[in-house]
Amino acid sequence: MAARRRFIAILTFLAGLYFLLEFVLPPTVPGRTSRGIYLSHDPTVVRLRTGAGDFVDVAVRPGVELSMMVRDPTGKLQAKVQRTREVSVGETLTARTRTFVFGGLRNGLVVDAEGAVAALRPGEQLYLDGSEETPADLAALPIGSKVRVEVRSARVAEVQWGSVTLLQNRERATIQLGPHVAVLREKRKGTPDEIEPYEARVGDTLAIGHTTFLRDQRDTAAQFNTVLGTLALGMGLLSLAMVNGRKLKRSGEDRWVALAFFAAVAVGVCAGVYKYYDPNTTERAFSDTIVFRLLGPVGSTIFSLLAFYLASAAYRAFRIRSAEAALMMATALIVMLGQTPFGMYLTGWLGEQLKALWLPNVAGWILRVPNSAVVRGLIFGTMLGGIGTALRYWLNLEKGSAMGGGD
Amino acid sequence: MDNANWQVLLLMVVFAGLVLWKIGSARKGRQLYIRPIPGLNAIEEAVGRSAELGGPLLFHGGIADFTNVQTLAAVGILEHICKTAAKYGNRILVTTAMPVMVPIWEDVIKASFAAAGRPELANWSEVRFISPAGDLTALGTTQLLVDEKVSSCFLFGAYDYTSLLYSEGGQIAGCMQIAGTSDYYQIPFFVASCDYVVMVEELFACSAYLTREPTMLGSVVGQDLGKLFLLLLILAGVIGATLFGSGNPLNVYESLLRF
Repeated sequence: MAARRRFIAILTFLAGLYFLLEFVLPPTVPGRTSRGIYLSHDPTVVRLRTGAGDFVDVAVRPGVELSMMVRDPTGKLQAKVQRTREVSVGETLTARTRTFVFGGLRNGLVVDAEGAVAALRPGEQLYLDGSEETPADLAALPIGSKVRVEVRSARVAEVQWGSVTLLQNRERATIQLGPHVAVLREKRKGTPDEIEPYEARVGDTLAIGHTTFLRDQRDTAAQFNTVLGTLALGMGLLSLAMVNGRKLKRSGEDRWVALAFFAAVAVGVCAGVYKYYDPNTTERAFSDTIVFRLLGPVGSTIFSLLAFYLASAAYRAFRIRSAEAALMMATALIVMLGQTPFGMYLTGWLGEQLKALWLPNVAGWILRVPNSAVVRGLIFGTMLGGIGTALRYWLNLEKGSAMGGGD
Repeated sequence: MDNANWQVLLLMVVFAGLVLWKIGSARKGRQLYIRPIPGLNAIEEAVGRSAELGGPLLFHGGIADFTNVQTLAAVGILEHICKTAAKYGNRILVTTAMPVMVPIWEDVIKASFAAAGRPELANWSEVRFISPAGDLTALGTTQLLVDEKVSSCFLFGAYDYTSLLYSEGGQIAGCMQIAGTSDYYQIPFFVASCDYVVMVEELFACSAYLTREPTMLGSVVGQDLGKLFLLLLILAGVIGATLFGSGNPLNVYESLLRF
C-alpha cells in the first residue's frame, strides 16, 4: 500500500508540475520571439501526395482547413483540425482547399454560381456540404448546392514554410515561419490568442516565436484522459451488466427490468452500427428511428420534468417559516414582478421623480448590486478552494483513499 | 492561449504562499480554528437515521470526472460517509454517469470500509453506472431511491441543470438530503430541496474539516487568508477609484490590475 501511495504521489506531482509550468511559462521561448506590427505574409504551402500518386499544393489561406482523422473516446473517427505549425512531413492529412456554390458543368469543367471555372486539380474531389461519406456525383449534383473541395487522406510530401512581415522599430522585418513556430495576436486585455498568419489584420501586434516544448505536448498529455475514458466505458457497461445479471438470477419483477436492459443494449449497439450505413437503407432508417424518434423525445420528456420539480421546489422555498425565508420571498417577488410589465403597472404612478422605486428599477438594482456582489464572493471562494485543494493533492497532503488508499 | 500573465502569476504565488505558510504553521503544532459547517456535522445524523430506518445510503458524486476539483473533494466526503456508515453497519449505493469514476468510487468504498474495520460492508455496497446522459442518470437515481427505500441521500460534487432532478427526486422519496457544490447557479435548487447544503469553498474544506488533519486544516485557513487578501485588494481598489477616478494614470492600482 505504501509503494502504491508513493507511486501515485510521484505521478501526481510530476503531472501537476508539467501543467503548472505549461501555464506559467510564456507560450513562446522569450529569446526566440519577434514582436511587431503585422504588415503582410507569404502563405505556407503544403504539398500533398494522394493515394493515386498525384501531388497537390495547398496554400494555407482563409477557407483552407487541414485536418487529421483521430479516434474520440467512443472509438469513432473524427476530423481534428491541425494548425499549420503542427503539420509535419510524412503524416496523413485531409485538406479542405475551398468551398463554393455549385453552378453546374461547362465543357466538362466545374463552374461556381457566378459562372467562374472552379476546375478540380488531380487528387481533389468535390463533396456535398453536410455529406462526409462519398464524393458528390457531378452529373446528379443540383445547381445551387454548397460544395467543398477536399484532398482526402493524402501524405504530406513537403512543406514550404511561409513568412510574416512585421514592422519593428519603423523597419520591415521578415520572420520565417516553421514547425513549432506560433503566431500570437496580442490583445489590449488578457493573454494573446494563437492565430494562423492569414487571420492577422494590418495593424495587429503580433508575437512570433518558437513554442515551448511544454506547449507542444499539451494535447498528448490530455490524451491520457481520453484513453482512460475509453477504457472506463467498458467498465461502466460491465458494472451495469453485473447489476442486471444479478437481477436476472433472482426471480421477481426485477427480472423483466434486467431483460429489458439487455434488449436495450442489443438495440443500442445495432443502432450505433447502422448509423454508418447509407441514408436510404433499412438499417439506417432503424438507427434514425431509435436515435431521433425514440431517444430524442425521451430526453425531452425528462427535461420537461424540471418544470414540475421547479414548481414544487419553489413552493417549499417560498413558504415563510423564518426571517430569512421571508426576506427571500420578498426579494423573489420584487425581482419576478420587476421582470414583467405588471411591475411597471403597479409602480408607474410614482412618477419620474421617484423612478428609482419603480419595480423594474428595484429588481435591476437587486440583480446588479447585491446579487453580483454575492456571486463574486462565491467565485472568489471557488477559486481559492480550488487552489487549496489542488495544492493538497499536488503536494500529497491529502490523506484520503483517492491518493492510494487508507490512512 | 491560456497562459499566465504576470498579474495572474503574482496572485498565484500569493495565494499558494498563504496556503503553504499556514500548512507549515499547522505542522509546527499550532492550533487552528475553522468554523463549524452544519451540513458536514449532519452527516452522522443522516447515517444514523438511515440505520434506524433500515435503508441504505445513497451517494452521488456529481456529474464530472476526477479531472474536476469538486469530484476530488467529493472523494474525501464519501470516504468519511463510509467510515461513519461502518459504525452503524449501513450499506452504500453510489450512482454515476461517468464510467471512469466507477473503479474510483469502488476503491474508495473498499479502502474506507477496510480502514474502519468493516470490509464486509464493501461487498454489500454497490457502485452503479446508470447512463452517460446526465438526465437519465438523475432519473435512474431517483428510481433507485424509491426501489431500494433509501433514507439518506448525499449529493456532493459538480452539478449542472440536473441538480434539481436529483434533489427533488430525493425529496419526493422522503430522504434526508445533504448536498454540496461550488456550482453557484445550482445552490438555490439544493437550498430549496435539501435539508443541508455545503456551499462553494465549504465543499473544498470538507476533507480537512472531517479528518481534522492539521496540515489539511492549515490549507483551509490559508484559503481564508487568501480571501482576506482579496477583500483588502477590493477595498484598495474602491479607494483608488474614488480618489483618482477610473482611467486616471495616477490610479496605479487600476493599471496594475488591467488584465
